[in-house]
Amino acid sequence: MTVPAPDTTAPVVTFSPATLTVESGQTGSSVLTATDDTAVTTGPTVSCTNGGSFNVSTNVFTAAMVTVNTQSVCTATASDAAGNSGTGTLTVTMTPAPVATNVVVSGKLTYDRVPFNTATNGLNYAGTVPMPIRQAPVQLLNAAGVVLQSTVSDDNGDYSFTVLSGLDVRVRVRSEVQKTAPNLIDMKVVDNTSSDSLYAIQGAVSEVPTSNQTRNLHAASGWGVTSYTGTRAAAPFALLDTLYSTLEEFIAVDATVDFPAFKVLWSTRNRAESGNVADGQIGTSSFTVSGGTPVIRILGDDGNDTDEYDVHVVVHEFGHYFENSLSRADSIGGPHSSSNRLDARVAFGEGWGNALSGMILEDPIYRDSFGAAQASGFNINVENNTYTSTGWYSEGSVQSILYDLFDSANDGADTASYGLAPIYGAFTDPDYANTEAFTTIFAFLEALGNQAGITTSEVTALTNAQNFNGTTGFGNGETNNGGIAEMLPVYKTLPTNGTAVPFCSVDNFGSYNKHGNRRYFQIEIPSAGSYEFTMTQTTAGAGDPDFLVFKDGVRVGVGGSGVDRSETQSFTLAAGTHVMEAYAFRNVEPGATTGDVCYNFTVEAQ
Amino acid sequence: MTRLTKLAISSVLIGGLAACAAATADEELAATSVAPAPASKTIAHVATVKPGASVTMTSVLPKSMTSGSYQTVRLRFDESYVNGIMTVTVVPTAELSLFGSAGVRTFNMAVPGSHVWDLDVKADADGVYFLNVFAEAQGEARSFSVRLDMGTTTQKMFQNAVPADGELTDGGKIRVMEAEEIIQ
Repeated sequence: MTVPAPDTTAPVVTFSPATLTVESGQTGSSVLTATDDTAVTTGPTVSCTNGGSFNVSTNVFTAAMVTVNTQSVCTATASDAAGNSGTGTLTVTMTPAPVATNVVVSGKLTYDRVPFNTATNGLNYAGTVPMPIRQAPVQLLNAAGVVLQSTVSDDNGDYSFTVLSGLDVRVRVRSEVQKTAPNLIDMKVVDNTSSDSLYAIQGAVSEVPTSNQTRNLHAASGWGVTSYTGTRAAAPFALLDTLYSTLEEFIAVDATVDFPAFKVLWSTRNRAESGNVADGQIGTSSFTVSGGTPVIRILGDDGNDTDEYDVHVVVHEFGHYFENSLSRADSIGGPHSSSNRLDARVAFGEGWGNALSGMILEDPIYRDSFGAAQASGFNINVENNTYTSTGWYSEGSVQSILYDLFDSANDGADTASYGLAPIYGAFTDPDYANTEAFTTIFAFLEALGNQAGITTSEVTALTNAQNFNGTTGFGNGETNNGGIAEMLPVYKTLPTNGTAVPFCSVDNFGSYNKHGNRRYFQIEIPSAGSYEFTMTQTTAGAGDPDFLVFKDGVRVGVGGSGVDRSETQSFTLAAGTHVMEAYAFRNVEPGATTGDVCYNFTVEAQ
Repeated sequence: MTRLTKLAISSVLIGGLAACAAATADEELAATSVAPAPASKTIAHVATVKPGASVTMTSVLPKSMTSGSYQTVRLRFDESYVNGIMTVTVVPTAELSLFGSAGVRTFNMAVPGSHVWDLDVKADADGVYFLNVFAEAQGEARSFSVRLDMGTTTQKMFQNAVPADGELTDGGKIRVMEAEEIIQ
């Protein structure tokens, strides 16, 4: 009989790896193995010398909370049936948790600016350049979207946050400029097809390291090789920057100027179709007041018409905002071109917008791109002095005069080089903003004469070159009738003694807002009281007469019934100068059959 | 607005004061112009529009347009010039075809009144399509867009036809757009 040799072989116990470094309170893994030539019958069990614990089931070491580096040796013990015992050790260095430190997260914010192809007046995507996103709110958000910090980018597009390391954050940039000092600025670019949501760009959520970090964000145009292939993130910031540049020019001539709140409505859905603005049917790029808020609507319809990079269009529409919010505008809007003979109020507002775009952008060539790949376009040279219909009713004449007043390049009759300051001064002069007349080139020039440094003869040379010579805000003495003898004087005097004053509404140059459609009157109300206004048709046919009465730019009476051939209304008026426009409704109603219609007008105290 | 049958008229009007254009001759028109009420009756705040050709366009569409066959779309142009040539270019969006190849026509602006162009268009599948229309006169241009709903259409079809960029977050107050980010 053979007696088995006694089992003297101890179990082999190992950790792999045999050393760990684990941060205070954190965990680390090491695989514990215990083997024996027969079998491990007890253990392994683990004990650690200096804190921390090792979980045999999960092979995870959990460090104790330490404030200094602390070494803990964990010994694993296993036994077999013969009582042999083996051990293995895991040496763990427990390190204190890093103290969260303030680090700087900073970066540069840029957007794609797409320039023009000056040969085609279309956009030149190949020439796209990054530009800084200036003066925009920058937010630091945590992973849950909570805003932790806010700042504003500087004029180089740079921003900076001081933040604790270890946080998971992202950077977001909003498409707005909000300032309260030294100038009030409140402008934002929103998506009108998404409940006027403010556009923003943002980066990814990532942990702030223990050293300073740079996070640069770029809003790309989204343009591929031949078409848009990505998100058009640059568009809102391009619009914002164009407008901010415009504000800067006004601030340069008036350090205290404030800009009341306005919104820019832009969307890739904004199309050249009238209808529901919330569906993008904005008609075309335009300015209006909606719900009491000035809004600039900008087209974004790829392949048809986009205007986010058409800087002259954007500044033109800002010009209307400027008139509306910092000055006064009596324009009745509507379609127009440089070659049209227009209602003088429209001619002035549109000529101003065109000229302003040349002034602000230091480029007298107004360009507007459209069509497939935005590759087509047209231009208007506001430095041009020759139009088919020069005069006080011409948008072309207005832009020529205003730009020549501004620029330092003398051409033709232009010897004036005044810059923006006196032009701004005239717009904000009470003689213009509160003029008794309508806001036309005449009212503007009267207020311009109040500004320092203006030489009357230089201004007169420009107006004479554009074939008009009326004076005062009412254009007194004007001799250019614009091809319609009936249109002089610019304002017909309407006595208040019941004397009939004849006039005609004429459609020679189109309808709604064209020269001849609406006749201006000046009325001196001798004393406050009730006055009866009667407009009676004197020519045959339908003519629905209508009229509007104003005092200092405020409409105080409307004669707008649908009664054919005659309109009578009584108004209680204050004493003083009033103006009135009167017209045949058929000449201002889009789509109507137009025609020349004549009337007698009487006003009589009641 | 008068609700009639068969045809729909839709105006692309860019004046602040605009009215339903003349759907007068055909008593089977449904006027769907969304322009403001007539000037003398309701005075709305005006819109001052960007410079360009002084042209307005009105589109008259069949009330119900079906896919798979040609449909006639009438485009009517009103301009404010006394002479010269107006060139109109029509470009259909993808999957929409024009009968014949000519997408360009010229009109003599010395001829008074509206200028009319009847176009036959076809789409093979139901959906929302657009005609891009460009009018050029005396060196300036104006763009128009005409929405065509072919067959049974849905809001999703419209959204697919003109998708909006970005992702809506923050309760609808922020439209976040993708940024290119470099972290160093």
